Amino acid sequence: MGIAAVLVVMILCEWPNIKTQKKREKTAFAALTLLGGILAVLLVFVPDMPGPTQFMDALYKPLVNMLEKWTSERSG
Amino acid sequence: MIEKGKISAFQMGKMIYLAITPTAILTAPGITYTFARQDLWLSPIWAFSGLIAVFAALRLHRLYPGQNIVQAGERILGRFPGKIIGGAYWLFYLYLNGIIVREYGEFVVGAFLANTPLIVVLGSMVLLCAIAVRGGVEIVGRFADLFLPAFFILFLLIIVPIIPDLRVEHMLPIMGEGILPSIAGSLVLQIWFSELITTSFLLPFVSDQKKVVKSISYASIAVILTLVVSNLSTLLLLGDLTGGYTYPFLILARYINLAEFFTHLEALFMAIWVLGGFVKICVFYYVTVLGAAQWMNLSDYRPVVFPLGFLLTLFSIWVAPDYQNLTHAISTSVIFATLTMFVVVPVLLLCTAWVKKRMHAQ
Repeated sequence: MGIAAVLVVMILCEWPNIKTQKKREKTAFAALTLLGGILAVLLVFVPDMPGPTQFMDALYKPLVNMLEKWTSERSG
Repeated sequence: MIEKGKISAFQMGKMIYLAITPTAILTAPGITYTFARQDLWLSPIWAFSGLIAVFAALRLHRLYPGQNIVQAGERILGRFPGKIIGGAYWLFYLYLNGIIVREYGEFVVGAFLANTPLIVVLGSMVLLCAIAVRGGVEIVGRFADLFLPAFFILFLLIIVPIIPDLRVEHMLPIMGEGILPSIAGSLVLQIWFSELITTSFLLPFVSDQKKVVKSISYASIAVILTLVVSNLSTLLLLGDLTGGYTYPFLILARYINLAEFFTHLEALFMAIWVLGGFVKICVFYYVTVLGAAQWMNLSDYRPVVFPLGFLLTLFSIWVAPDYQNLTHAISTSVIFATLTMFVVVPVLLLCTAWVKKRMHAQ
Protein backbone atom coordinates (compact mmCIF):
# COMPACT_ATOMS: atom_id res chain seq x y z
CA MET A 1 0.00 0.00 0.00
CA GLY A 2 2.81 2.35 0.90
CA ILE A 3 4.43 1.65 -2.44
CA ALA A 4 1.22 2.49 -4.29
CA ALA A 5 0.87 5.71 -2.29
CA VAL A 6 4.43 6.79 -3.08
CA LEU A 7 3.98 6.02 -6.77
CA VAL A 8 0.66 7.90 -6.97
CA VAL A 9 2.13 10.95 -5.25
CA MET A 10 5.12 10.81 -7.60
CA ILE A 11 2.92 10.64 -10.69
CA LEU A 12 0.63 13.43 -9.45
CA CYS A 13 3.58 15.71 -8.69
CA GLU A 14 5.16 15.13 -12.06
CA TRP A 15 1.94 15.19 -14.10
CA PRO A 16 1.77 18.93 -14.95
CA ASN A 17 5.33 18.73 -16.29
CA ILE A 18 4.79 15.46 -18.10
CA LYS A 19 1.82 16.76 -20.06
CA THR A 20 3.97 19.38 -21.77
CA GLN A 21 6.70 16.87 -22.64
CA LYS A 22 7.05 14.88 -25.82
CA LYS A 23 5.97 11.29 -26.24
CA ARG A 24 9.44 9.87 -25.69
CA GLU A 25 9.76 11.46 -22.26
CA LYS A 26 6.32 10.18 -21.27
CA THR A 27 7.26 6.64 -22.26
CA ALA A 28 10.53 6.85 -20.33
CA PHE A 29 8.75 8.11 -17.22
CA ALA A 30 6.10 5.40 -17.45
CA ALA A 31 8.64 2.63 -18.06
CA LEU A 32 10.86 3.60 -15.15
CA THR A 33 7.91 4.03 -12.80
CA LEU A 34 6.58 0.63 -13.81
CA LEU A 35 10.03 -0.92 -13.29
CA GLY A 36 10.23 0.66 -9.85
CA GLY A 37 6.76 -0.58 -8.94
CA ILE A 38 7.52 -4.15 -10.03
CA LEU A 39 10.83 -4.18 -8.18
CA ALA A 40 9.21 -2.77 -5.03
CA VAL A 41 6.50 -5.43 -5.02
CA LEU A 42 9.08 -8.15 -5.65
CA LEU A 43 11.25 -6.88 -2.80
CA VAL A 44 8.28 -6.88 -0.43
CA PHE A 45 7.21 -10.43 -1.26
CA VAL A 46 10.63 -12.03 -1.93
CA PRO A 47 12.99 -10.12 0.40
CA ASP A 48 15.99 -12.41 -0.14
CA MET A 49 15.88 -12.25 -3.92
CA PRO A 50 19.44 -12.28 -5.32
CA GLY A 51 20.49 -8.68 -5.84
CA PRO A 52 23.09 -6.80 -7.86
CA THR A 53 25.72 -7.55 -5.22
CA GLN A 54 25.34 -11.29 -5.84
CA PHE A 55 25.71 -10.59 -9.55
CA MET A 56 28.96 -8.70 -8.90
CA ASP A 57 30.16 -11.49 -6.59
CA ALA A 58 29.52 -14.08 -9.29
CA LEU A 59 31.19 -11.92 -11.92
CA TYR A 60 34.40 -11.35 -9.97
CA LYS A 61 34.55 -14.67 -8.11
CA PRO A 62 38.08 -15.72 -9.18
CA LEU A 63 39.56 -12.33 -8.29
CA VAL A 64 37.71 -12.19 -4.97
CA ASN A 65 38.90 -15.68 -4.06
CA MET A 66 42.46 -14.67 -4.85
CA LEU A 67 42.16 -11.57 -2.67
CA GLU A 68 40.63 -13.48 0.23
CA LYS A 69 43.27 -16.19 0.11
CA TRP A 70 45.94 -13.54 0.14
CA THR A 71 44.38 -11.67 3.09
CA SER A 72 43.99 -14.82 5.18
CA GLU A 73 47.61 -15.73 4.49
CA ARG A 74 48.71 -12.31 5.68
CA SER A 75 46.65 -12.23 8.85
CA GLY A 76 47.21 -15.89 9.71
CA MET B 1 22.09 20.04 -25.02
CA ILE B 2 20.19 18.30 -22.28
CA GLU B 3 21.44 20.53 -19.47
CA LYS B 4 21.59 24.30 -19.79
CA GLY B 5 23.26 25.03 -16.46
CA LYS B 6 26.91 26.02 -16.18
CA ILE B 7 29.29 25.58 -13.28
CA SER B 8 32.71 27.09 -12.65
CA ALA B 9 35.84 24.96 -12.66
CA PHE B 10 36.31 25.37 -8.92
CA GLN B 11 32.71 24.45 -8.23
CA MET B 12 33.43 21.25 -10.10
CA GLY B 13 36.51 20.63 -7.96
CA LYS B 14 34.47 21.15 -4.81
CA MET B 15 31.74 18.83 -6.04
CA ILE B 16 34.29 16.13 -6.80
CA TYR B 17 35.95 16.59 -3.41
CA LEU B 18 32.65 16.34 -1.57
CA ALA B 19 31.58 13.45 -3.79
CA ILE B 20 34.48 11.36 -2.55
CA THR B 21 35.63 12.26 0.96
CA PRO B 22 32.54 11.90 3.21
CA THR B 23 32.11 8.13 2.95
CA ALA B 24 35.86 7.67 2.70
CA ILE B 25 36.61 9.20 6.12
CA LEU B 26 33.71 7.28 7.60
CA THR B 27 34.54 3.68 6.74
CA ALA B 28 38.00 3.75 5.17
CA PRO B 29 40.17 3.73 8.34
CA GLY B 30 38.50 0.58 9.63
CA ILE B 31 38.71 -1.35 6.36
CA THR B 32 42.22 -0.15 5.50
CA TYR B 33 43.50 -1.17 8.90
CA THR B 34 42.81 -4.86 8.27
CA PHE B 35 45.30 -4.75 5.39
CA ALA B 36 47.83 -2.12 6.30
CA ARG B 37 48.02 -2.15 10.15
CA GLN B 38 50.08 0.77 11.42
CA ASP B 39 50.88 1.89 7.87
CA LEU B 40 47.28 2.78 7.09
CA TRP B 41 48.04 6.46 6.95
CA LEU B 42 50.38 5.83 4.00
CA SER B 43 47.74 4.02 1.98
CA PRO B 44 45.87 7.08 0.60
CA ILE B 45 49.08 8.21 -1.09
CA TRP B 46 48.93 5.25 -3.51
CA ALA B 47 46.07 6.77 -5.46
CA PHE B 48 47.01 5.24 -8.81
CA SER B 49 43.49 4.54 -10.03
CA GLY B 50 42.46 8.11 -9.29
CA LEU B 51 45.30 9.52 -11.38
CA ILE B 52 44.52 7.17 -14.25
CA ALA B 53 40.79 7.94 -14.07
CA VAL B 54 41.35 11.70 -14.06
CA PHE B 55 43.85 11.45 -16.89
CA ALA B 56 41.44 9.38 -19.00
CA ALA B 57 38.54 11.73 -18.28
CA LEU B 58 40.54 14.84 -19.20
CA ARG B 59 42.02 13.33 -22.37
CA LEU B 60 38.67 11.97 -23.57
CA HIS B 61 37.16 15.39 -23.01
CA ARG B 62 39.97 16.98 -25.00
CA LEU B 63 39.36 14.59 -27.90
CA TYR B 64 35.58 14.98 -27.76
CA PRO B 65 34.89 18.43 -26.26
CA GLY B 66 31.52 18.94 -24.62
CA GLN B 67 30.83 15.23 -24.32
CA ASN B 68 30.98 12.99 -21.29
CA ILE B 69 32.44 9.52 -21.27
CA VAL B 70 29.20 7.81 -22.33
CA GLN B 71 28.64 10.11 -25.31
CA ALA B 72 32.29 9.84 -26.26
CA GLY B 73 31.99 6.06 -26.01
CA GLU B 74 29.15 6.13 -28.50
CA ARG B 75 31.27 8.21 -30.88
CA ILE B 76 34.27 5.92 -30.47
CA LEU B 77 32.64 2.49 -30.58
CA GLY B 78 29.59 3.19 -32.69
CA ARG B 79 25.95 3.29 -31.73
CA PHE B 80 25.18 -0.18 -30.42
CA PRO B 81 28.28 -0.97 -28.29
CA GLY B 82 28.17 2.61 -27.06
CA LYS B 83 24.60 2.12 -25.87
CA ILE B 84 25.63 -1.02 -23.97
CA ILE B 85 28.40 0.87 -22.19
CA GLY B 86 26.09 3.81 -21.50
CA GLY B 87 23.47 1.51 -20.00
CA ALA B 88 26.09 -0.24 -17.90
CA TYR B 89 27.34 3.13 -16.64
CA TRP B 90 24.06 4.53 -15.41
CA LEU B 91 23.02 1.21 -13.89
CA PHE B 92 26.39 0.96 -12.16
CA TYR B 93 26.08 4.51 -10.83
CA LEU B 94 22.61 3.60 -9.59
CA TYR B 95 24.04 0.55 -7.83
CA LEU B 96 26.96 2.46 -6.33
CA ASN B 97 24.67 5.25 -5.19
CA GLY B 98 22.46 2.59 -3.64
CA ILE B 99 25.47 1.48 -1.59
CA ILE B 100 26.22 5.09 -0.60
CA VAL B 101 22.64 5.79 0.47
CA ARG B 102 22.61 2.54 2.42
CA GLU B 103 25.88 3.41 4.18
CA TYR B 104 24.42 6.79 5.09
CA GLY B 105 21.22 5.21 6.37
CA GLU B 106 22.97 2.49 8.35
CA PHE B 107 25.23 5.06 9.95
CA VAL B 108 22.44 7.44 10.92
CA VAL B 109 20.29 4.63 12.29
CA GLY B 110 23.17 2.79 13.94
CA ALA B 111 24.78 5.77 15.64
CA PHE B 112 22.03 8.30 16.25
CA LEU B 113 18.41 7.58 15.37
CA ALA B 114 18.21 4.09 16.80
CA ASN B 115 14.41 3.85 16.78
CA THR B 116 13.73 5.21 13.29
CA PRO B 117 13.03 2.63 10.58
CA LEU B 118 15.85 2.49 8.04
CA ILE B 119 13.51 3.08 5.12
CA VAL B 120 12.38 6.45 6.52
CA VAL B 121 15.96 7.71 6.76
CA LEU B 122 16.78 6.43 3.26
CA GLY B 123 13.59 7.71 1.71
CA SER B 124 13.80 11.22 3.15
CA MET B 125 17.41 11.62 2.03
CA VAL B 126 16.59 10.43 -1.49
CA LEU B 127 13.58 12.74 -1.67
CA LEU B 128 15.72 15.71 -0.63
CA CYS B 129 18.36 14.83 -3.20
CA ALA B 130 15.71 14.33 -5.89
CA ILE B 131 14.48 17.88 -5.36
CA ALA B 132 18.05 19.23 -5.54
CA VAL B 133 18.86 17.19 -8.64
CA ARG B 134 15.71 18.40 -10.40
CA GLY B 135 17.14 21.89 -10.00
CA GLY B 136 20.05 20.90 -12.22
CA VAL B 137 23.81 20.86 -12.04
CA GLU B 138 24.02 24.51 -10.99
CA ILE B 139 22.08 23.86 -7.81
CA VAL B 140 24.23 20.87 -6.89
CA GLY B 141 27.33 22.98 -7.60
CA ARG B 142 26.12 25.74 -5.31
CA PHE B 143 25.41 23.25 -2.56
CA ALA B 144 29.01 22.13 -2.88
CA ASP B 145 30.10 25.78 -2.68
CA LEU B 146 28.01 26.31 0.41
CA PHE B 147 28.89 23.13 2.28
CA LEU B 148 32.61 22.82 1.62
CA PRO B 149 33.69 25.52 4.13
CA ALA B 150 31.35 24.08 6.76
CA PHE B 151 32.64 20.59 6.06
CA PHE B 152 36.23 21.78 6.37
CA ILE B 153 35.71 23.74 9.60
CA LEU B 154 33.86 20.86 11.25
CA PHE B 155 36.61 18.47 10.17
CA LEU B 156 39.24 20.71 11.82
CA LEU B 157 37.04 21.05 14.91
CA ILE B 158 37.27 17.31 15.35
CA ILE B 159 41.00 16.98 14.58
CA VAL B 160 42.42 19.96 16.51
CA PRO B 161 41.07 19.23 20.04
CA ILE B 162 42.48 15.70 20.04
CA ILE B 163 46.01 16.69 19.01
CA PRO B 164 47.32 16.63 22.65
CA ASP B 165 46.09 13.04 23.03
CA LEU B 166 47.78 11.66 19.95
CA ARG B 167 50.59 9.23 20.62
CA VAL B 168 53.25 8.98 17.95
CA GLU B 169 54.45 5.55 19.08
CA HIS B 170 51.26 4.01 17.63
CA MET B 171 52.55 4.56 14.12
CA LEU B 172 55.87 2.84 14.75
CA PRO B 173 57.44 0.93 13.10
CA ILE B 174 56.86 2.85 9.90
CA MET B 175 56.86 0.40 7.01
CA GLY B 176 58.01 -2.37 9.36
CA GLU B 177 57.08 -5.02 6.80
CA GLY B 178 58.16 -3.07 3.77
CA ILE B 179 56.02 -1.04 1.47
CA LEU B 180 53.58 -3.83 0.55
CA PRO B 181 51.06 -3.63 3.42
CA SER B 182 50.35 0.02 2.76
CA ILE B 183 49.78 -0.70 -0.93
CA ALA B 184 47.49 -3.59 -0.03
CA GLY B 185 45.56 -1.25 2.23
CA SER B 186 45.14 1.19 -0.59
CA LEU B 187 43.32 -1.49 -2.61
CA VAL B 188 40.02 -0.71 -0.88
CA LEU B 189 40.66 3.01 -1.17
CA GLN B 190 40.84 2.64 -4.95
CA ILE B 191 37.01 2.52 -4.88
CA TRP B 192 36.98 6.13 -3.73
CA PHE B 193 39.83 7.30 -5.92
CA SER B 194 38.38 5.76 -9.05
CA GLU B 195 35.19 7.73 -8.35
CA LEU B 196 37.21 10.67 -9.69
CA ILE B 197 35.98 9.54 -13.12
CA THR B 198 32.76 11.37 -12.20
CA THR B 199 34.69 14.42 -13.41
CA SER B 200 33.99 13.24 -16.92
CA PHE B 201 30.26 13.77 -16.46
CA LEU B 202 30.69 17.28 -15.06
CA LEU B 203 33.37 18.53 -17.48
CA PRO B 204 30.97 19.48 -20.29
CA PHE B 205 29.18 21.96 -18.00
CA VAL B 206 32.28 23.83 -16.89
CA SER B 207 32.31 27.38 -18.21
CA ASP B 208 36.02 28.17 -17.75
CA GLN B 209 37.71 25.15 -19.30
CA LYS B 210 41.24 26.51 -18.84
CA LYS B 211 41.14 26.16 -15.06
CA VAL B 212 39.83 22.59 -15.14
CA VAL B 213 43.18 20.82 -14.80
CA LYS B 214 44.20 23.04 -11.89
CA SER B 215 40.91 22.60 -10.08
CA ILE B 216 40.79 18.83 -10.50
CA SER B 217 44.37 18.40 -9.32
CA TYR B 218 43.61 20.52 -6.23
CA ALA B 219 40.57 18.35 -5.59
CA SER B 220 42.55 15.10 -5.90
CA ILE B 221 45.34 16.36 -3.65
CA ALA B 222 42.78 17.57 -1.11
CA VAL B 223 41.12 14.16 -1.09
CA ILE B 224 44.45 12.42 -0.50
CA LEU B 225 45.47 14.88 2.25
CA THR B 226 42.13 14.59 4.04
CA LEU B 227 42.38 10.83 4.01
CA VAL B 228 45.96 10.88 5.27
CA VAL B 229 45.00 13.24 8.09
CA SER B 230 41.90 11.30 9.11
CA ASN B 231 43.65 7.93 8.94
CA LEU B 232 46.69 9.24 10.81
CA SER B 233 44.70 10.85 13.61
CA THR B 234 42.55 7.74 13.99
CA LEU B 235 45.64 5.57 14.18
CA LEU B 236 47.51 7.83 16.61
CA LEU B 237 44.56 8.01 18.96
CA LEU B 238 43.24 4.45 18.83
CA GLY B 239 46.31 2.46 17.87
CA ASP B 240 45.56 -1.24 17.57
CA LEU B 241 41.88 -0.68 18.29
CA THR B 242 41.27 1.03 14.92
CA GLY B 243 40.26 -2.19 13.22
CA GLY B 244 37.76 -3.03 15.94
CA TYR B 245 35.38 -0.17 15.25
CA THR B 246 32.99 0.15 12.33
CA TYR B 247 33.30 3.94 12.35
CA PRO B 248 36.69 4.78 13.91
CA PHE B 249 36.33 8.46 13.09
CA LEU B 250 33.14 8.66 15.10
CA ILE B 251 35.03 7.35 18.14
CA LEU B 252 37.43 10.24 17.59
CA ALA B 253 34.60 12.74 17.79
CA ARG B 254 33.23 11.04 20.90
CA TYR B 255 36.65 11.15 22.53
CA ILE B 256 36.88 14.95 22.53
CA ASN B 257 36.69 16.35 26.03
CA LEU B 258 37.78 19.96 26.42
CA ALA B 259 37.87 21.13 30.03
CA GLU B 260 34.89 18.89 30.86
CA PHE B 261 32.83 21.40 28.91
CA PHE B 262 32.92 20.41 25.27
CA THR B 263 31.99 16.77 25.32
CA HIS B 264 30.10 14.44 23.01
CA LEU B 265 30.96 16.31 19.88
CA GLU B 266 29.71 13.49 17.68
CA ALA B 267 26.94 15.87 16.69
CA LEU B 268 29.68 17.68 14.72
CA PHE B 269 30.57 14.48 12.99
CA MET B 270 26.92 13.89 12.23
CA ALA B 271 26.78 17.35 10.64
CA ILE B 272 29.87 16.61 8.51
CA TRP B 273 28.43 13.34 7.45
CA VAL B 274 24.97 14.61 6.57
CA LEU B 275 26.26 17.66 4.66
CA GLY B 276 28.92 15.71 2.82
CA GLY B 277 26.73 12.70 2.24
CA PHE B 278 24.03 14.94 0.82
CA VAL B 279 26.37 16.42 -1.81
CA LYS B 280 27.84 13.01 -2.52
CA ILE B 281 24.47 11.37 -3.10
CA CYS B 282 23.35 14.39 -5.17
CA VAL B 283 26.36 14.20 -7.49
CA PHE B 284 26.00 10.46 -8.04
CA TYR B 285 22.24 10.78 -8.44
CA TYR B 286 22.73 13.56 -10.95
CA VAL B 287 25.15 11.43 -12.98
CA THR B 288 22.68 8.52 -12.91
CA VAL B 289 19.84 10.72 -14.10
CA LEU B 290 21.93 12.37 -16.78
CA GLY B 291 23.29 9.03 -17.98
CA ALA B 292 19.83 7.48 -18.11
CA ALA B 293 18.34 10.47 -19.95
CA GLN B 294 21.14 10.45 -22.53
CA TRP B 295 20.89 6.71 -22.87
CA MET B 296 17.21 7.00 -23.78
CA ASN B 297 17.81 10.05 -26.00
CA LEU B 298 15.52 12.26 -23.93
CA SER B 299 15.50 16.00 -24.50
CA ASP B 300 15.08 16.71 -20.80
CA TYR B 301 16.28 14.76 -17.79
CA ARG B 302 13.72 16.06 -15.30
CA PRO B 303 10.92 13.55 -16.02
CA VAL B 304 13.14 10.63 -14.97
CA VAL B 305 14.38 12.17 -11.68
CA PHE B 306 11.60 10.88 -9.43
CA PRO B 307 11.27 7.38 -10.96
CA LEU B 308 15.05 6.95 -10.65
CA GLY B 309 14.89 8.21 -7.07
CA PHE B 310 12.32 5.52 -6.32
CA LEU B 311 14.60 2.94 -7.94
CA LEU B 312 17.54 4.32 -5.95
CA THR B 313 15.70 3.81 -2.67
CA LEU B 314 14.89 0.24 -3.72
CA PHE B 315 18.48 -0.41 -4.74
CA SER B 316 19.76 0.88 -1.42
CA ILE B 317 17.68 -1.81 0.30
CA TRP B 318 18.45 -4.41 -2.32
CA VAL B 319 22.26 -4.15 -2.26
CA ALA B 320 22.73 -6.08 0.96
CA PRO B 321 20.63 -7.66 3.69
CA ASP B 322 22.64 -6.02 6.51
CA TYR B 323 25.65 -3.84 7.19
CA GLN B 324 28.13 -6.72 7.64
CA ASN B 325 27.31 -8.07 4.20
CA LEU B 326 27.60 -4.57 2.76
CA THR B 327 31.08 -4.03 4.24
CA HIS B 328 32.15 -7.44 3.05
CA ALA B 329 30.95 -6.64 -0.48
CA ILE B 330 32.72 -3.28 -0.39
CA SER B 331 36.02 -4.86 0.58
CA THR B 332 35.76 -7.60 -2.06
CA SER B 333 33.75 -7.55 -5.28
CA VAL B 334 32.89 -3.84 -5.37
CA ILE B 335 36.62 -3.01 -5.56
CA PHE B 336 36.97 -4.98 -8.78
CA ALA B 337 33.68 -3.73 -10.19
CA THR B 338 34.59 -0.05 -9.69
CA LEU B 339 38.08 -0.64 -11.04
CA THR B 340 36.65 -2.21 -14.21
CA MET B 341 33.99 0.41 -14.76
CA PHE B 342 35.89 3.52 -13.69
CA VAL B 343 39.46 2.70 -14.70
CA VAL B 344 39.69 -0.14 -17.22
CA VAL B 345 36.75 0.89 -19.43
CA PRO B 346 37.77 4.59 -19.68
CA VAL B 347 41.38 3.65 -20.45
CA LEU B 348 40.27 1.19 -23.14
CA LEU B 349 38.01 3.85 -24.62
CA LEU B 350 40.88 6.30 -24.63
CA CYS B 351 43.20 3.81 -26.34
CA THR B 352 40.55 3.03 -28.97
CA ALA B 353 40.06 6.73 -29.56
CA TRP B 354 43.80 7.23 -30.02
CA VAL B 355 44.12 4.32 -32.41
CA LYS B 356 41.12 5.56 -34.37
CA LYS B 357 42.63 9.03 -34.63
CA ARG B 358 45.91 7.61 -35.90
CA MET B 359 44.08 5.57 -38.54
CA HIS B 360 42.22 8.66 -39.69
CA ALA B 361 45.41 10.67 -39.88
CA GLN B 362 47.07 8.16 -42.19
